[in-house]
Amino acid sequence: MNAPVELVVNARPVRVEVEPRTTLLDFLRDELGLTGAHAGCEQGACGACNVLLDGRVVRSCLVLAAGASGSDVTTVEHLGTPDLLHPVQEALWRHHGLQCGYCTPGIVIAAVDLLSRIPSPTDAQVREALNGNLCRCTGYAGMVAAIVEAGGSHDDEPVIG
Amino acid sequence: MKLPPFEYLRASSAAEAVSVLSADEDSKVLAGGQSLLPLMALRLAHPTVLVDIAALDLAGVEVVDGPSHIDASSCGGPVPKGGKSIRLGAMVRQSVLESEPVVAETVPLLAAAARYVGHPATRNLGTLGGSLAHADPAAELPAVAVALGAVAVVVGPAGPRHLACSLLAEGYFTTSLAPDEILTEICFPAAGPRHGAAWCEWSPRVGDFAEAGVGVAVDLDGDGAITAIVAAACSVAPVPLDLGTALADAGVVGATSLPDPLLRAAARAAESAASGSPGDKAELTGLLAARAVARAFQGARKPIAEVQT
Amino acid sequence: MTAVDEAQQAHDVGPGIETRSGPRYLTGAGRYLADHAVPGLCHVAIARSNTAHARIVRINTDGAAALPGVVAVVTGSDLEAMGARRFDHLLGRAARPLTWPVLAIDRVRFVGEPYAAVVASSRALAEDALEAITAEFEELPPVVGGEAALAPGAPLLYPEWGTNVFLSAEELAPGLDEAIARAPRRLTERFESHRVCGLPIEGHGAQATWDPGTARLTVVASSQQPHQLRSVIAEICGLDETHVRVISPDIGGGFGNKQHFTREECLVGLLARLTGRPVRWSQDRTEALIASVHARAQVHEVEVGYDTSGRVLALKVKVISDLGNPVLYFSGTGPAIVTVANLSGGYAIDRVGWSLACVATTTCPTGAYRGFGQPEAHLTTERIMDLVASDLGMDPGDVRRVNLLPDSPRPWRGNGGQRIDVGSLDSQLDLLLERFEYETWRRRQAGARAEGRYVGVGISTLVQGTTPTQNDTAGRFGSLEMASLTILPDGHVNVKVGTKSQGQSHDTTFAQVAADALGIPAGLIEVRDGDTDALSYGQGTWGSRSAVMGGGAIIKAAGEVRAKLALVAAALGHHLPTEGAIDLDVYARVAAAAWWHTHLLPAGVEPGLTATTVYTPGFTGPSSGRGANHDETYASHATAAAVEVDPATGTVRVLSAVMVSDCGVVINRAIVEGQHQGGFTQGLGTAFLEESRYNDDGQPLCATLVDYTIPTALDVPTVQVVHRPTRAETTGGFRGAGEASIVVAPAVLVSAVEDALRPLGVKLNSTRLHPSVIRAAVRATGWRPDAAGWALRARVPGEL
Repeated sequence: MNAPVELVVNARPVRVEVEPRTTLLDFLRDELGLTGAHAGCEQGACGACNVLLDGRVVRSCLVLAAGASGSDVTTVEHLGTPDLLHPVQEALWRHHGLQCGYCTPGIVIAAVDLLSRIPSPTDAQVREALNGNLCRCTGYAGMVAAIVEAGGSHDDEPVIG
Repeated sequence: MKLPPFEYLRASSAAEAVSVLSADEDSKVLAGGQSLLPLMALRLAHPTVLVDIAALDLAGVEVVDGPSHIDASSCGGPVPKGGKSIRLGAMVRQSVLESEPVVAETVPLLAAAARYVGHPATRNLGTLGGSLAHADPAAELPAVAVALGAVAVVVGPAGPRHLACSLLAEGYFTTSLAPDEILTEICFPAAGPRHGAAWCEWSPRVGDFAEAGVGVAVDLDGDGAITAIVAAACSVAPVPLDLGTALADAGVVGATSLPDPLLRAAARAAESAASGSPGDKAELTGLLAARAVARAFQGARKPIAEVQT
Repeated sequence: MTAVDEAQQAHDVGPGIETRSGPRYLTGAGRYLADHAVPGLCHVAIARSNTAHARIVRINTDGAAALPGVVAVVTGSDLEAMGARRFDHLLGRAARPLTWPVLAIDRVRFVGEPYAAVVASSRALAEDALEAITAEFEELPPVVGGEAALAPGAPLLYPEWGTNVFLSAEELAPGLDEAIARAPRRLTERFESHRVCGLPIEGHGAQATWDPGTARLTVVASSQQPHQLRSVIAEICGLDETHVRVISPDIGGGFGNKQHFTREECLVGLLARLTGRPVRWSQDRTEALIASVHARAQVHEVEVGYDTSGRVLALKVKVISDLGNPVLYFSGTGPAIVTVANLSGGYAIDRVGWSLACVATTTCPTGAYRGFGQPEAHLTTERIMDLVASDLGMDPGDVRRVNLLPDSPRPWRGNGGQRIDVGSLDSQLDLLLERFEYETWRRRQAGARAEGRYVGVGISTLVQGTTPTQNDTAGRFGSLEMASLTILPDGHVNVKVGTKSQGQSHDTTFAQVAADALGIPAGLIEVRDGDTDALSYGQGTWGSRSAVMGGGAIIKAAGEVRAKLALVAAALGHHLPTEGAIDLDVYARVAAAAWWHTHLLPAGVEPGLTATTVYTPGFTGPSSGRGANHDETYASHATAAAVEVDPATGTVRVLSAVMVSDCGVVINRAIVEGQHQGGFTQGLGTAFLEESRYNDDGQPLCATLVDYTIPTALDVPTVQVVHRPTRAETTGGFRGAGEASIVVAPAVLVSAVEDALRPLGVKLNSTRLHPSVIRAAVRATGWRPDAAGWALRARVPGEL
């Protein structure tokens, strides 16, 4: 039996019925065509599928679409466009904080969540916040620098040493 | 992989949830889903019905006077005496434990440990009750509940009952809850005036399941002497390992300072208590216990607000 | 060879560091395999063996076929009945005969080997149907580990071979054993590179559509080598190459893991034909971890003769390479062949010899992972330098200095015929020690030791072959690249290239290269890759080859078009130089005239501004005999790292890492530094965290990302990169940058960790430096942690 889903996604109301086992990730991608959240592992371990659920970062592969009913969902597509990047996206771009781009939407979401809680995070706080996001390309250096900068922190805590 | 098929029910009351669970022994409660859904995605769990308890009003955080609401006769374990308690709904998210000031003030060990549970994204959905009911031996929160002598409220077909958290986990991923019982609330005794707590764990990567984790809380008297210590370890036994007695007996209680020999004695006591654990976990447990004792003591000597980093 | 002068460095003053693909990726607008939904798309799920080794008695698919949503369920026999051909490595070297079907038919030889597949209307329904397939297996004994597979009486994967050795080879320098025996000092050691997995965050996958009208198969695949994949798909599906189109879209990381031509990519082609439906297989994470491509997994038994000055006189290495079940195109034989070709690294060693045994075991096939055999070789060369230094009480930098290739002649001919064209290695080492502040770190180390802390320093001097030929490793594919460049009537430029970006931002760097070659702004240039219909041939991206080969092909094409520009300009009464920046107004008029105002063109000048070229530096050939070369050019990287080890937990923290980089002319600094930082992080993951572990029954123990742990932001240092480029002889002067740091990292970290633990006398000869391994090694010396000291430290590993 299908389950009703009533959500606000990227500021637009959505109302459909889905198979109960549909995750929020598959719902966003397959039903709404929002392919920015990526299926990196579907086991809750990589963070590539991160979205904001009622303003807080969650793994959309670990949320049932039906269970999210009544919530507000923001995906990476809502934060900026290629022509008008969100400040976090802009900073990641300038710092070469991405390579293949597959983990990138999840990084952007985690960073936006962090900056909403801690507006000017330190290097260490950024690393802690990104701890659940796996990136295989960059080695994280550019993305950490970018997010620290996006928060406007002039933290001089060394990365190492 | 995709989840196997199941029916989904968003329960509107605990009674409704319990009745569904009673009717189908392969049904399962869905709390935050951060442990259950990965198991299902690996097709290691095939529940017939997921009973979502998110709509139940179980996210309360309330500090109350005394543990007087707890029914000692049903609880099966010691009931905290006197003072204040904090009542936490089973659906309180782990991120709330980590960031809500009242939790840090009332049960600093819980707040400290919560920061090590999973990752920020999983803590936003993962719940206190879900963690306790899942009974993963590597989980931090069940160990904290055992250390602090928390008491759970459990609702079943016969109504609510109280259960000492030390009696909750029975083995790997197994609890004493009946299949048709739901954990609805956990009550922790509130910290006294000169209280310090520390959670220390180690894993090859931060955020992974700990190879061992130890939580310690101490109370000091007016002279700065340790009057009580509670402690437990995760990941070293099928259920949380209570280290409170071992550390007290090692000479920690009564101490007004922690000279090196005392820390070594504490480590030996914890290592010995964990001696049945696989590999070299016992040694690690000893190290972590000594460190947690030192940091908890350090914390108790400062005003509580300064301890929360 | 001299350092690149200022003019040559103009290449790296591109249009800023921002990559062109960045905004797309950052906003979720990237288009990866799973973003290619088409009407009627069906999904494939694959039944895989749970047993390491078994005879397949029967497979019953009836129950699965009857389930809702299921379109087809097939076994290997079903596919062969419809005409599927078998895979063959077609190696250039003699090996045991081996062909394998798309899905296993008679036997399975590793946990994860595919034996049946379901096509259904959704992935979930396809997976439901997998649970309804029943298979009866008669278990056979497993064999795990290359050395175990060589032992007398070991279970045989292919009894018809009479051995588990799939390929063996040997090349012994004359007088080698005597030289070792005569040497003033000798050492004998065993070095191990342990089994890991490349693990791109996007799993592999492929989607196929069959068009019955044109009888063409289109496969969208997350593939690093679309053109060669086309060849293999055509062969297996019984089609000719004109009837197969392969599209590689945005790729969520490759790292060699997506370099092979897999059973699954051919399977979807066959299933699309069989069902008439478009079908997609997206590898799930567990498939990626246990049934894609593992790597490294080599043991080296080493004999070295050296003198008391630290000079290595003779080196003999017996390499055992664990192939897993080698049913993966070119499998682990490719990397192993690269390993034996690089055993002398950047050192001048008089006599070098090796023997190689590539051994089948009942585990996941091994194969490519960034570095491709070179990390294994580099571990051995660097361990030897460190052990010689330790034995003689010399500084490890000084021992390297004694052995590094002298500055002349260039090119230097290596023992295996390598044509090594690197810059001065001595001065590169000097610069490294200065920038790393080597002496300061040695003082810090002494201070730390006095406090009972374990700080160590490691050095690596890498000479890395880049841009390999595939003659040796993949049998029939050589070394070339193709590009096409067209100036359109509005002056914008289409560049198509046969390499395939997987995060290396080729759209940015190749636009810079083309802009430089044409003398116009990069903003006018658009770069495309990854479609066999758009450009007829190419060889993809792997082996640090793309700048050299793709860049070379683009420069060559640009040169042809630029000559034409000048010709047409002259016909119009203008002048456009063939070097340097050009007048864009004239350029625009010439572009329009060349296509539109063809009546203005002088006789003999063909209309249009376009060129399609094939480029090869031409320095390589099959290296079956001495005097042949495997790599078109060489890069050199000198690296130092400082670490602190916590012996209590076995955790290592990298305190500093500095790399002096010569990857030839630098096209884009930020991108090169990103490659170095990312590769170092992967190599650090290998050393400290990762392993594709098996138990003795051949069951994989790391099937999720909870068990296979890769580095997070909390685990990595920032590598300081010092550019010291020298121009290569390749067109454009590029040497390649993609792999250096992953080759370096395990070796330099083993070196640094061992140095840190020197007061305890711990010896480390494996890349496996996981905390548990370090703890065990330290405990074996009798060392025990002091709980009080550890408890009171300001910070311990793993603490937030």
